[in-house]
Amino acid sequence: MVENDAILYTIEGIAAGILVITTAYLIISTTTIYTPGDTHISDMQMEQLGYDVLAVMDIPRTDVENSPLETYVQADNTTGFREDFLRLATANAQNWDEDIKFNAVIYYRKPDGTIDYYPFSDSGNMTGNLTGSEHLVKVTRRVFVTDTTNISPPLQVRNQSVLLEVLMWRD
Amino acid sequence: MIGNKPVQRNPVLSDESGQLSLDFMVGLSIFMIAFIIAATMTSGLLIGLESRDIDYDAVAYRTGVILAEDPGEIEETVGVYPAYAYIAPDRYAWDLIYTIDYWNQFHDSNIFRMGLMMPRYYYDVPPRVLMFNKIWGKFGFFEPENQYPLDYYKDKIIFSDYPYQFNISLTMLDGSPSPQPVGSPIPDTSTGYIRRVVLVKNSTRLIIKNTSSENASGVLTVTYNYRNISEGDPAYMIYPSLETTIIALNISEPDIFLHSLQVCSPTCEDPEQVSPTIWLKNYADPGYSEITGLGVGLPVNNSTYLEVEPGYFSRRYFPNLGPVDQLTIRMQFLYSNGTPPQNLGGSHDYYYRDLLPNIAEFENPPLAPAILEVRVW
Amino acid sequence: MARLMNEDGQWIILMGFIISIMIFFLAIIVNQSILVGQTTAESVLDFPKSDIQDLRSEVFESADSPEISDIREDIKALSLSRKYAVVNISNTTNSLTIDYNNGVTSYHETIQL
Repeated sequence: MVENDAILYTIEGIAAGILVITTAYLIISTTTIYTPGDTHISDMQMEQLGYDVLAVMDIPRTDVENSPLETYVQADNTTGFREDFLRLATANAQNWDEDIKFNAVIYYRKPDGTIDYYPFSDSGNMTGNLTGSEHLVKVTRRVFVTDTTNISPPLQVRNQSVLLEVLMWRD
Repeated sequence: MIGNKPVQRNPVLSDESGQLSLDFMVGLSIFMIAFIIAATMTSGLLIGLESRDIDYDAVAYRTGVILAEDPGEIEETVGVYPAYAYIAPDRYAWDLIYTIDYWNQFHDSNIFRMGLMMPRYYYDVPPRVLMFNKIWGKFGFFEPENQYPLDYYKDKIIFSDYPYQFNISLTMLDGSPSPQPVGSPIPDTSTGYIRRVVLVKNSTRLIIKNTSSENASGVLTVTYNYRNISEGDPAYMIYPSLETTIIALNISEPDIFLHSLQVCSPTCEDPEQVSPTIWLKNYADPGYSEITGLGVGLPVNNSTYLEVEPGYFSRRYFPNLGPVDQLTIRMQFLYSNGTPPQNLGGSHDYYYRDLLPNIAEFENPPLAPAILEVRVW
Repeated sequence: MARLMNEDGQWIILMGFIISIMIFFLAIIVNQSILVGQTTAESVLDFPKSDIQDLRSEVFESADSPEISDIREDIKALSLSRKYAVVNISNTTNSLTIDYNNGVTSYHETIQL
């Protein structure tokens, strides 16, 4: 036979404990798991913006000319590319000042099949200003190059497809 | 004094004093197990996360993709075969519902998505190229008359049960006017945000420079040859049934009136009396616009132009448009006394290249860059 | 109280109580693990939408070129080494096939020319 002494205290203690903990949880909701990942949203917005800018630069404005991006690459026009890229990337309806910096590099295929690159353009003032703490996003665009007369030697003299890689970050 | 009863310490089983009764133990165990199962089954019930805050950027991104990379979709016929009727030119032309009656009756159920992109008739249509008429047209997305109530957009581009507020703006970067933003004013709190860079395709124009032609008797024709037109590059193509086409008539002879205008496919008919139809407008007088089929002589001068509204050259008005290769606009000009001018007239093609550079010039404006911003909160 | 409570067995009760609370807490964790996973932003970043659009546009633009096999080798080699994606482009007389696979997403398209 079980002794009934102190059963009431025990039951009361257990019930009170459950009640207090459940109430506290439902009200305060502090026993949640931290799910990090919100930092990716700004990366996603920046990456979509970069791809959009490169895609829009690679669509010819009329049907009888090359796209602006092809023109810049074939003429090795780093300042033109910089201005156009920054204009499209920072324009917004509120006219806020957005500071986006980038570094552009072109990868190409050599006759022996290996891949090499040459630096193409950047947003200026690269040395000494990089802190290494900004979120970085890489966007790319394949550029169809037909005229290599103005580009320095690395590219072969034929129609070819090169890969333009742009690293961009917000300052 | 502690109780008189001697307490017997059993090394295996301790004193039963103070332990719960078996009934209560069983009852509590069953309750706890049931509670845990119930808590696991109602997933999300006890979660303390406010998930709507994280959703804003995701919803904004999805709306940005629908606007910039999707031509939209509409069920363009109503009724059952063979007695079905077209309410719009084709399944991507949600902005070209033919009449206000059709719009009032069918827009809610037949429009699935409102996207601004060019229609994907060809595999090499580049994404991010938007159609002018879907932005600025009578039923366009940014229409300032606000044909669409704000709740309507939620079903067609936001797709969410939760009542999000939104603000969508398009900013032209080439200096042309930007439409008014759609939605609620932007709040001070943080919002979900996405920015898309797009290009806008404007309407094409044929400028007739020289209307002198031997023995034409005042008959001027402009032909839309669909087979030739479809050979263009999709991003720069003429879409006669989806876009505005403009024919600038430089009639420099004085005292000339447009007596009649007909559309021949090849059987000729007068243009519709209500929109969409062919309008006679004037560059020098922006308020002047007359429907060409009114039957009275309309004065023309060297700044007159014809505007064919989008949606007019489509199946509803020209039901034989499928097997037919071309449409011709045929204009008859007369002097005020009723005699035809002998050397005025000619025939032209609405086509990409200037076939005869001094006679007619075709203007295909370049694609204009723009910024599309979507905010959701 | 005339008679003090007997504290024997309270230890088992307390342990039982603590274990039930722990089970309750583990149930909460299992409950929340349904939401833990890829966030929407990560899945957008992972999906190569722009890469596939870019690849298609490049294939169509270079389709008329005489050095078409060299250009396809360029695209394949650059995609493999820089985009970490395996790409294959081939054509017969009346169809063009594009294959793309970056380990997470695979894309296959056949166009009737």
